[in-house]
Amino acid sequence: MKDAFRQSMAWVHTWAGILAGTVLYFMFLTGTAGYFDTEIGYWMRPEVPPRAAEVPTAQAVALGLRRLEAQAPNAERWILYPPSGRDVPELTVFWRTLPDADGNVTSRSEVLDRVTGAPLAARATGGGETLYQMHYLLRYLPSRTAYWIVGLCTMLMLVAIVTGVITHKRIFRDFFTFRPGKGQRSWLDAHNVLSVLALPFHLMITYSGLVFFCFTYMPLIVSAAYGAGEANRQAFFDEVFRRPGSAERAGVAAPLASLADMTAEAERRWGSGQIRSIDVRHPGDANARVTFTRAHVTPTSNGDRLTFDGVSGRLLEESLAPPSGPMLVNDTLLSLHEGLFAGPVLRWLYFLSGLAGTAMVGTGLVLWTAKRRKQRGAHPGLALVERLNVGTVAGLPAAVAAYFWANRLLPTDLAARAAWEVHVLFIVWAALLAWAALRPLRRAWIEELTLAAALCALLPVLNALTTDRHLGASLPAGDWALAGFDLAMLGFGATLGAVAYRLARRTHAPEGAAAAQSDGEARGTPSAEPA
Amino acid sequence: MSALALTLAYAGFTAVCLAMERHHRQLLGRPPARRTATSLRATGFVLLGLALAACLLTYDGSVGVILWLGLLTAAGLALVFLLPYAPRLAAGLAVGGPVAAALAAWAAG
Repeated sequence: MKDAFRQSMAWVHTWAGILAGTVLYFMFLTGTAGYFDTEIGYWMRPEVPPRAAEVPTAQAVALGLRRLEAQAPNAERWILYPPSGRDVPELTVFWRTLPDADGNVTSRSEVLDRVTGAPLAARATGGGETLYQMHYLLRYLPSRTAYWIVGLCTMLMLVAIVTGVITHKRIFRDFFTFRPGKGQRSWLDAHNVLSVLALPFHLMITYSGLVFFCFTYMPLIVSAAYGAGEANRQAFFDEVFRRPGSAERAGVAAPLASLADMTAEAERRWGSGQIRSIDVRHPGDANARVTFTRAHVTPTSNGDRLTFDGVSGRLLEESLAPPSGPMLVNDTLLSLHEGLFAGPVLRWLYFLSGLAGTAMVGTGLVLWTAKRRKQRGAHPGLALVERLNVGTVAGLPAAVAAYFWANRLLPTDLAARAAWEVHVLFIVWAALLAWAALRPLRRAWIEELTLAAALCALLPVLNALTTDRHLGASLPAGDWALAGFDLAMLGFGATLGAVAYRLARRTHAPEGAAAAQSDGEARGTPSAEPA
Repeated sequence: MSALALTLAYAGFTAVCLAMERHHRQLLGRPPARRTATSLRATGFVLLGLALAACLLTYDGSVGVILWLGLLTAAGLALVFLLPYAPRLAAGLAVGGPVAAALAAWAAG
């Protein structure tokens, strides 16, 4: 009875994994890169000077305000992000205009020099943000379609995690077990260890990922209480997410009160350098509202806000925590997922856990084909998955590296340059999927892993040839955000290269001998304890 | 302090790992005596607890716990992938790591 249950769970685990595996691998890889989106963006904009001297927040706010007044006097909304450490390294402004005569609305953001207030000129690039956004928006799809695909795959991931834990009968006994060089058994060991040791992360990231779009996935819950239709849906969002103190546009002009005074008040309450953003609604209107949000310091601190009347400058509302229990749970889960509160050490741990997740999906995909081939021999479905695996597990890292190559090699005056960086990623991925379909399987693995290794490892060389921001400059300057990118790429290159090398060496050994050896080991290992 | 917590977590996992028959054999060529296994396991869990304490000493509660979970993952993965390739080094790090980290923390004041 117990074994029958376990076997049926193993079946569910296998199929949930294989159905969603390719998309999940893409989501894990790009999402993991997202934990360093700011640092990647810094590397991808080599024209931006290294972080200059700290400036007082008030001074940065004044510069940002001047730019917004000049660029967008008729705005519905302004947002200022004073430089506040890792997350917002440079002064950034955003504006959305009021609808013009044709009803068109323009939204723009600019990164400004924190000393002069002039826009920082840099090549057009998607940076780390685009890479990170792809993990939930995918690409070339309407966002709603993407959310549903991502949601379905995430749900299958959650199913795979739960059934995987049930299926893994020696979860404690094999807690530390990794036996290399034993073919399929080694892959299974690696898959188990990567899954179990980072299990808290895997569960958190998957479950919170679903929470992000729960109103898309479960629209009926809203409809049940508010009624069907878009208007009722909007009423729900207004009630749940709208912060107290907000107001409609009055349509009467009135000058904006001193942002400097409000900034001083916020810093008095929170301490200096703690302001994450200043959101000005209806600037220049009698109902202007100014909301300050605090930098994320813990997973539960993202509710801290101060709302001022934008004309009188009076403090209207101070909200320290989310207004309700469910909201706190919601905010905490999302905050855990994004990890904005994480300092350098915790950020690297998030990144490591993300890599473990990527490798968990990758090893799972490889295991499926290894097991099938042993049990049933070759057939078209197996061949399809085998090729898809090569083109994804080895091909996608190569394609992401190609995205960075494109950043350095595409001409800076190319139209739609940022979009082309992404096109390069998908063109390379498609080409490697095709390559995997055309080559003998083992050769394809070795070739694509070697290519991925070379693209990663040579990236610091390309960086040195095309910019003056290479390791020779960033290391002596102690610019770890920049040097870290190049060093990490060297590390990925070495790891991928080592896998390719091992695979190539085993291929040269007599095929029959290798197979007999691994079979014998799989059957006769002394560690095959009774369950 | 994070380094101390990481090395304590690593040492804790190593002790728990050594309490298991397969890994004790792998390192020392024989299974552990029952009493040895029990005390290794107890030491291991105490060390993992000390790692949590080190995290909570430096960080606010929720962040400290998250950091600890992350460090456990990192320490566990390091141990598991080091063990088959360099068992002696893997065991040596469990002793040397916390000592070095504690000295470094003490030197830094």
